Amino acid sequence: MEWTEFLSQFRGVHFLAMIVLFVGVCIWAFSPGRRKANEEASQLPFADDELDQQTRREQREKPPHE
Amino acid sequence: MQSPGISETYNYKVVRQFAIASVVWGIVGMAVGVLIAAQLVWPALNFDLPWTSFGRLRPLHTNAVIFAFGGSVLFATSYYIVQRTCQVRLCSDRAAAFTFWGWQAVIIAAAISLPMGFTTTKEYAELEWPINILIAVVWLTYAWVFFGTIRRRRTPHIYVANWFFGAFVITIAILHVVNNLAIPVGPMKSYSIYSGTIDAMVQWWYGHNAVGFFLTAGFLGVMYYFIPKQANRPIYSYRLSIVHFWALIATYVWAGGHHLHYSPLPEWAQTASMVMSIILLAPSWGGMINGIMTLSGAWHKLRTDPILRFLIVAVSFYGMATFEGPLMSIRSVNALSHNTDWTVGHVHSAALGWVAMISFGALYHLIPKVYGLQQMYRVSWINTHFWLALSGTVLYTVAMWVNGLIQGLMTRAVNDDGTLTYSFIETLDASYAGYIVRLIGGGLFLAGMLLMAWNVWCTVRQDDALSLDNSPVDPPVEHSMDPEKRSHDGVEVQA
Repeated sequence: MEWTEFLSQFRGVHFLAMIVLFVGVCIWAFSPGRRKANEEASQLPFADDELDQQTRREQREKPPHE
Repeated sequence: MQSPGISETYNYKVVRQFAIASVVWGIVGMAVGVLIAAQLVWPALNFDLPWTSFGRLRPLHTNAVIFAFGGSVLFATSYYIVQRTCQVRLCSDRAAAFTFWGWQAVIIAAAISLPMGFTTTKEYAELEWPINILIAVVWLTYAWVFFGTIRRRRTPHIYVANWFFGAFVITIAILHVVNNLAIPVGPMKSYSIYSGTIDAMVQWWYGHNAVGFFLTAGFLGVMYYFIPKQANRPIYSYRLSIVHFWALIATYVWAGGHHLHYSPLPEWAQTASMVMSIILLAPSWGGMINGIMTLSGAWHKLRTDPILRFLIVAVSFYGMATFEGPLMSIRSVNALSHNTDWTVGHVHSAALGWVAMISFGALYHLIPKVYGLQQMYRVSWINTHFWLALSGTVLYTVAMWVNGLIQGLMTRAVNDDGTLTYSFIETLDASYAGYIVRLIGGGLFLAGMLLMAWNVWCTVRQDDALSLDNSPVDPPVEHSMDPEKRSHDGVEVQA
């Protein structure tokens, strides 16, 4: 197979693969089954105050010369 | 995943170190930028010395602001975010400390070797091979700490910010190693293993993805944590953030060829990179919408919270820069913009407007937290900093846009007999006013950075930083006069 021919076929295949991948990711991300997981994940920045407080408490008790 | 431990705490020390380092390197990098901007107005400022000539200081400026300032911000924020969203301490304090001191060593080596004239001449990859090996070692350690921490996570999900940081860590490792493959011929001299057009293509595959993954994906990770946190509401659409992530990383890697329009690079490769660059608009704006719409229903917070203002204006600049970028990647537009100050303006609307501003917002949020405080020493100074940064950015970019159009149009002007209408020196002469405005803009931006440094200094020097926590959950401890206790935050500052 000629190099240019191979290249143009690769480009076609690659283009299709990317479209399929993109549509797949969209369907997956927006699927009803992901709703709960998405909601849980989006709350993660607000879920760890206890550990943060514990770190601050320890910092205060022993200055951080670890 | 681990079971919850009772005495688990976070490693805030390395976060503090990188946060302070980013302020210090921000001042250095931006000050060098202002100096070379002044050199373009008054060339005598190169002092007729080789070490202070524009050609040597310019890579010092770019390396300092991207890798020293931006890099330290990304280390600080990624270590902070990965711990807090995985609810687990970094997997190794020792390895994290190594990444801090290793990264500082890289920065010092760059600050010495670049003015001395050691350079590979590859843009944003000017450092010579011994430093590159050190970067690779530090970076692999960073990857190990980051992914090791994710592996130990206590949460069922990996928060989207960590996906962006993960892509940034992996991609930069690959880009750095592949682009810097070279044959050493001396202690500070090497030749790239690539030649000609292939060297150019590899370089701009690296160069554009340094923008795409270092200055975009990494800072999008910052956006996805600090905007929800500062606004105290979850991200507008988590589903959109997933699509944003995969679409962005799948598209960015193809866009580098647009730096090589009208070059010996095959035309199909130029066209492919142009098409990919235009497609990039979609994921970029998806991310911008996701960040800004997080404030939906809480817009009033922008009036009172200067930190949130930094974060949201940064995302707005991200939107503008990612609109301008695809536009400039179109071959016919590039014919006008290439090799003019328009490129410089585009880069700085993204670097000052997006990267630096989202960094300032994140640092103002994070520094009090890791020092056990409620907020910065003076919130009103954050507001002053915001207006200095915004006016500096606007003056800078507008001056460069005007200069770029003038230069592009003048160099394309042709007389009836086919000769060029203007000489190069005439375009330079026409750019002079813009260079003065750019210097003023850069000066304002640096002034804001200095105000930030003063605010940070006052914050961490407070008697109650660390030793006297003023967070609301615990009752405040008695004021400590013990010099031992007070000096420990000073140690962090010097680090």
